[in-house]
Amino acid sequence: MADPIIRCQGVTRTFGNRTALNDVTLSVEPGRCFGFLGPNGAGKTTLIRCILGLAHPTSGTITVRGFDIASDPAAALARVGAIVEEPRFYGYLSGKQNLELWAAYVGDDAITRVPALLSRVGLDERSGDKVSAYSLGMRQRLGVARALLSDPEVLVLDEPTNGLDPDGVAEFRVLIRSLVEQDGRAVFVSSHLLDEIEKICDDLAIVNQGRVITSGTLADLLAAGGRELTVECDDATRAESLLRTLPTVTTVTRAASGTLSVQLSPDSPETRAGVNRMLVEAGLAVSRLEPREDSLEERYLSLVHEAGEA
Amino acid sequence: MIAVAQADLRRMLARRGLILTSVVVPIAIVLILTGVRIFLHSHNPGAHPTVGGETLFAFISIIGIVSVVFGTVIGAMFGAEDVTSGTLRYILLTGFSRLRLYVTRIPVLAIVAVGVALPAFVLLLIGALALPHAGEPGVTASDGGRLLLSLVLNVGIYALIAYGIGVAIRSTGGAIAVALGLNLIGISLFNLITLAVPGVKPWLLDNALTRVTDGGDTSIVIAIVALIVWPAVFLAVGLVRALRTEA
Repeated sequence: MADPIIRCQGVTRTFGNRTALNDVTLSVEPGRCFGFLGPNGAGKTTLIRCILGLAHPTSGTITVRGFDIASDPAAALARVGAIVEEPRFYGYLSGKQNLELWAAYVGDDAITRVPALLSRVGLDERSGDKVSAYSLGMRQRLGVARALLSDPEVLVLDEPTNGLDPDGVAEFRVLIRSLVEQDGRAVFVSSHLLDEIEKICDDLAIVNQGRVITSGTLADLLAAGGRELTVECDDATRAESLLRTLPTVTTVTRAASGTLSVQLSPDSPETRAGVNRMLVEAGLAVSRLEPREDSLEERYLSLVHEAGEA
Repeated sequence: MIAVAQADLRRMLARRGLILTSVVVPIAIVLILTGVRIFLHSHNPGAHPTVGGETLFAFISIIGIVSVVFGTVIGAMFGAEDVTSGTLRYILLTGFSRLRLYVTRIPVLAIVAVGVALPAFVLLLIGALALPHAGEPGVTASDGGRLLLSLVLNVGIYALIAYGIGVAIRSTGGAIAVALGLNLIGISLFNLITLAVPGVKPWLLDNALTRVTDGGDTSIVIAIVALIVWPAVFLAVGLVRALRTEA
């Protein structure tokens, strides 16, 4: 596996008596979309500001592209693009003029990328308009274009779909995935929108009250949330009794229709086929055996509530 | 840095409302004053034999005051804008250092602040030279040079002071108020101080400006040093804040 493009190790940030980030450790791999999911006030923007060197951790270390952000911010940020909180521009300049201004700050040949970037984010026809006349969605897209000026290896986007209408959200989602799949860039995106994270991210961490309560691939996180089987057969009472004897089955509930809901423990090696075999070998006729994984929403709520109770 | 300075210069000039107002208002004042003098001359040439010449050019002091006000507004806005508009963080994210950003903008600001004051000066000078000034000496190159230096120094120094204050207090309105307060009220306060401590007088900004452009019996060296120290102090205060501010 390649070295992480962003690595946070034991990052803590306090404001007076309040701990905004508490021993946060996570890694973002190249070419992956990493979601940083948490409720409002969980510390998402604080971590992003620390990653980008705009604020400094009270303790812990952050490396970006292998460079320590505290000791070598210029090298760390040389190929990083970002939108923090919301994209801000000079409203009295046009979109194109804004990008040309930032291209001067970026240096090198960034100015040559301006027309292509405006086209990529779908603003080429409105590039001559003043930014003050842009909608929020247009400013977000212009923000992505600005973030891409340095041809970044990683983009850091803080709540990028906040305030966008459904069309804008859908367009933004396509844009983000194209940055990952077509360009091979890493994207670190924070959000409190579960649906958004589930649709665009490969990996994620869930943060609550400044602490990361879980992290990993989206698939692993969903799979770890416990598995449920829906079972229908010709003798629900006998099937229920048999299933309760399995040590890997945590609960069996029977609906009035006779349909059984079988909850397998998260680390259960039991497979759907195994359950089916046991019921068939017992002489039962199984007419339905359907797995159901937790949605991200269910996993998120479960983890956040568990963390809250702990 | 030159590319950034050029880009920032284009950005400042794109604030068309502010720039046009800063250029047009002093020009309008010149035209009004000249018009009044032409009117008086045409109705009563005996009592008002001159229109141009030194009589007209003496109005440069009014142009100077107005231009200092606009220079202050431009400087304060230039200093505070990136924090108030939230663009500072995006500039820093490009890797462009705070120090380079701060330093690069100083000459850009000076060019703009002085540049917007020059059209009115040139117009007044042309009027003074071209319009009749019977019985009165014309404007000499020495007069023109001296008053141009005065205008440039006044506008440039107060714009730089306002820039330092703007960066330091991170509020355009606050910076304008403080910088104009220093210009308009501070002079009186400092003059009171000189009553108690006469030795301070050559170091006061306005006294130094007068000494350098109009002459006087105090030390020219002290005056020049004072003209460097005054903006340098405010720029240093702004720099300290610029280096420490969280974007």
